[in-house]
Amino acid sequence: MTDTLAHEALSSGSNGSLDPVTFEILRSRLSAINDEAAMTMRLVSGSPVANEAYDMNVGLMDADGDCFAIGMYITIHALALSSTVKDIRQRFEAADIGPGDVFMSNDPYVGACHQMDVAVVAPIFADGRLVAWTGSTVHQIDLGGPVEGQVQLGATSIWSEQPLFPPIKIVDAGELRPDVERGYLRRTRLPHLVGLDLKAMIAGCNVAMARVQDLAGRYGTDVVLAAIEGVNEATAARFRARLRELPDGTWSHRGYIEYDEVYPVVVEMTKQGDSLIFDYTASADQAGAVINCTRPACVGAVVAAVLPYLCYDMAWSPAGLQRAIEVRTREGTVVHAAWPAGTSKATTTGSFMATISAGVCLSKLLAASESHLRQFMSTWMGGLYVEDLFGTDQRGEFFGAAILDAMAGGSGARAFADGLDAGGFLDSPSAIIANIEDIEYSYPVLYLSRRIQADTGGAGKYRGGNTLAMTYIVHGAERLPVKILHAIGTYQPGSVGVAGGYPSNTNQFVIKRGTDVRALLAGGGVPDDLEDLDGKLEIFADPIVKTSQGPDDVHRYVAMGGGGYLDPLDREPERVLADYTVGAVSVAHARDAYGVVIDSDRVRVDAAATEQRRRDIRDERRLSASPLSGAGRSDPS
Amino acid sequence: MARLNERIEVVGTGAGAVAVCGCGHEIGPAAENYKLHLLMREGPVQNAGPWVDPNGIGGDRFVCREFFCPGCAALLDVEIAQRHEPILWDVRLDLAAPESESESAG
Ligand SMILES: [Zn+2]
Repeated sequence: MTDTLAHEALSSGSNGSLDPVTFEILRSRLSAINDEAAMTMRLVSGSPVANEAYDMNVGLMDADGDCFAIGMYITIHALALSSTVKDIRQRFEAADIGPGDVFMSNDPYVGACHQMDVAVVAPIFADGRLVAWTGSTVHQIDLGGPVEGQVQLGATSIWSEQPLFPPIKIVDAGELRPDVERGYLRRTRLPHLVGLDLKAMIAGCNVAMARVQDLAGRYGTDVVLAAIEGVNEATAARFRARLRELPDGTWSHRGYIEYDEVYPVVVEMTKQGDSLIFDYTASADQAGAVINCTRPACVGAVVAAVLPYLCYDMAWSPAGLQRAIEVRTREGTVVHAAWPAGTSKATTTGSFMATISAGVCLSKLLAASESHLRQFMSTWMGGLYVEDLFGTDQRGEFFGAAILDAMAGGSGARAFADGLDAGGFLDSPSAIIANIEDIEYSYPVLYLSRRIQADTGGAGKYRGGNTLAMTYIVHGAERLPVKILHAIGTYQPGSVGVAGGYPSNTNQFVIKRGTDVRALLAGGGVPDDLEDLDGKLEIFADPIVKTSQGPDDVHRYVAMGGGGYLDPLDREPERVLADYTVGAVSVAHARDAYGVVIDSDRVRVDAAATEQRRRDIRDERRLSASPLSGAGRSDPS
Repeated sequence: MARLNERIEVVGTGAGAVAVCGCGHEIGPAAENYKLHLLMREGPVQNAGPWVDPNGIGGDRFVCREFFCPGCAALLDVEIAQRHEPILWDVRLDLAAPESESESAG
C-alpha cells in the first residue's frame, strides 16, 4: 500500500528520482533504521566489547550488496558487510536467498576484517522483491584457534589461526538452524558470550529488516529503491564536488607495523580533479600470519579515512564514495594478503595502518587548502593497544575479555584548536571506553588509576590531544594466568605531526612485579604511579607479549595521543600555562618543546625567560641542523 | 595561491614556481622536495617528545628528522623514519594546474 503523496514523489523520470523532500525523509529514515539496528544489537549483546566499547557496526546495502548507509561505529565494517553480501550473491542460487534468511561469515578472504569480526547479513524482501540487505558485526573475544583471543602468537599461516567459515545460512526462512549454531559455538572458548553476540547480530538484522519493509509498505517499494539509489548518487555527486574544491597533487606517507620485523605501510595518494587514487603497492611484503589484512579490509580502511576527513557534511554512503575512489594494492603485501597468509590481528595492524596512512595524506591535502583548512586534523591515535585477558573470574567462572581502554587515544590537532584529550580514534565516530566499574564488575581486576597523561599529545602551536594512562591489579582471583598484550606504535609514534607539529607519544606497556601494593592499600594508601611502589619493573620489548599477572604485580599502560600542528614555539605562552594548570603539560615539556618557562610557585609565565628560551632554541636549531641541498636523499619515486 | 600548507606557499607557476616560507625565505623550486632545501637535524626517535619510546625498546631502528627554515629557524616538518629510509617527499602539488583550487566558496 502506498499513499498518494508517495506516488507523486516518484517522478516520471526513467531513473525514478524523487522530489527533494521525500528523498530527505527517506534518506534520514534509512539512517535512523541503522541506528536502531545498532542500538538493538548493543542491548541484546552481553559483551562489554559491544555494549561498553562499541567495537561493532551495522550497515544497509542495496540489492547488489553495495553499502549505501553505514552506522556511526567502526566504519571499516562497511566494506566487510558489502563484500560478504557480494560473495553470497555470487555463490548462492537466487532461490536459496529468501525472506527471513540470515547468513554469517568470518572469512577475511570473503570480506570480514579479521576472523574475530563476524559478519551477519540478511536480505530484505518487499513485495516479493529483494530490495536491500542489512548487516551487523561485533568483534568476538574468542573464536578458537591455538591461542586465546585474537592474536594467534606463533602462527605461520592462516592454518594456525582461528577457523574460517565462508558465508553459511544461520537462519532459514526465520528459523534458527541449531546445527549450524552448535557448529559455530563449538569452536569458541566462550560459547555463552559468543552465542549471545550471535543473537544480538541477528536481532539487529531483524530490526532493520522489519523497518525497511515498513518503509516499503508506506511509501512503495519503487520509492524506497529510488531513495537508495538516490543516496549513492547524491553522495557521489557531493563527494566529487568536494574533491574539485581541493588542490591537485600527490601526498605520501609511510606508516609502520612492528612485529617480528618492521613492516612499512606505504601509500601514495593522488588527487586529480574529482578523483582520488590510493596506491599501496610499495607497502611491505606480507608476514606469514597475524598482521596482514586482505584487500576488502584495505579498501574499507581507505573509506574509513575518507569519511571523517572529507565527508563530514554528507550522507555516509560508502558505495557513493567508491565511485570516485580507486584503491591500488599488490597481492602478497601486508595490506593485500595472498592466501594462505594469516590475518588474525588485521584490524589493529594492516587495515589500521592503511587507514592511518591514508588519513595522513588526507590531512595534508586539507592543510594545502585555504578554503578547507578548518576541516584539517593531524593524525588521531596512530596505533591501538589491546589487551586480551583469560582466566577464572571472581565468581569462579572461566572468562575472556578484551580491554579496549586504549581506544581513548588523543585526537589530532586542528588548524585553530588543540586535539581532544582522550578524543577517541578516527575509525569510529562513536568511540567510547567502558566505565572502570563495569570492567571491575565483569573481570577480576581493580584499577589503581586511569587518567589523562600529560605530554602525550604531539607538541605544536596547536597540540595533539593527550591520551590516557592506567594501572591495575588482580582482584577477586588469585592471578590472571593469560594476558596477551599487543600494539603497534611501540617503537615509533604513529600519530604524525603536520607542518612543524610533533608526533604523539608511543604505546607503552610494562608490569612491575612483586610490589608492595597490597600493604600500601591495606594501610589506606593508593599509589599514584609505579614509582611509588617497590618491585621489579618488567619492560616488554616485543610488540606482542603473552604473559601472566600475579597478586602483587601492577600492570601499567599508556595509550597513544594525537599529532600536533605547526611549530610549538608559535604557541601562545598563556595557552601552555593553561595546559600546565590542568595537568596537560609538565613544566619540563613546556620549557623543552614550547620554550615556555613557567614559574610553578606563582603559576605564571616568566615572560623574559620565555623570550630568551625561545631565542636559545632557535639558535640551537641553527647550530645542530645541517643543509641537505644537493644531497639527493629524497625518495625518487 | 597554491601552498603546501599554512607555512609554505608556492609563488609563481609552472617551472618557475618556488616554495617560500612564511618569513619570506625562498626555500627552493616548487617542483622539488621542499625538505631537501631545509636544514635537517636527525636524531633518536626520543627527540620527538618525552613519552616517545622512553625505554628504548625499538633500539636505534627509527630516527626523528626535524626540518627547519634556513631563514627563520621555524620547524617546518617532523619526519619519523627507519634509519635507512630516504627522506619522504610527502607533498607534491600539481603545478601544471595552478588554478585547480576553487576558492570561490570562501
Ligand atoms: Zn622561514
